[in-house]
Amino acid sequence: MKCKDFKNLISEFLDGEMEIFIRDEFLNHLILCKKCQGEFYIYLRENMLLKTFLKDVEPPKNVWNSILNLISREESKI
Amino acid sequence: MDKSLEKKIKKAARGDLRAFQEIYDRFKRKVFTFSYHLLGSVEAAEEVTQDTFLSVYKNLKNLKSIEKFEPWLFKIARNFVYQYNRKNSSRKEDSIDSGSTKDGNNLDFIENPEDKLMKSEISEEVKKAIKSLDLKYREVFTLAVVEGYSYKEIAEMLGKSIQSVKTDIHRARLKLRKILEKYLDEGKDEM
Repeated sequence: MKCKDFKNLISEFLDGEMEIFIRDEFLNHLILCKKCQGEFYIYLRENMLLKTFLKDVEPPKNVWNSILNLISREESKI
Repeated sequence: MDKSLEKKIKKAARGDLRAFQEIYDRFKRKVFTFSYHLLGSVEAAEEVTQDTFLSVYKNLKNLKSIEKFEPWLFKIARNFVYQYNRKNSSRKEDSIDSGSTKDGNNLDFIENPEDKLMKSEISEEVKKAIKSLDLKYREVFTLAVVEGYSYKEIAEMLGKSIQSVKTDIHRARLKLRKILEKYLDEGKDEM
């Protein structure tokens, strides 16, 4: 595997989307190529950073009541 | 799809509000998080979530395939996100709200004031970085990395090919990496 191909596959690996038949080749390259190890490390840190700070957000409680109001308004038109 | 959800969808399609509330409770966080990360404000996410679920309630009886409920729901949410974005694009962008995160206290073990400041700085930088992406990259990225959908599911939701989803996510990561560079290099040489 060439370094360019490796870099293009990092995203797929991190998202758990890599095809099994490429994974061995990808991991072998990671073990052998110092330059790509550095590259992989940066993506890994980026992924951790984004997953840490981009959380699920809970909608405020009033949203459901607003939806109910909108529904009853819609239904009263009929 | 699990049978109980299927039943609830059928009931809600006949106007059963209790079943509809259960559907709302199950998907509200996903829709709100998606809208929030795409539009960057709680107010906008509230509007999109309300409009999305109202539209779901009104159109549930027209849903052809119940198994496709989730992609259908996200298509509706996405349409409202784009609509909101178009409507408000001329307005000066608001600063990004902090929102209330599900496990926002996860990082509270960091008690040191300097670390807390750093945490808040990084959090703002991450939100700004996401907001700097084009909407098309923001949506695939949010769906894959925050919501955890597979590329196949995202492709279905957005009506794109899997290859296009892959490319967009990769490009989003490249762009985010440039913006967040100063937080990513630390410790690299210690490997």
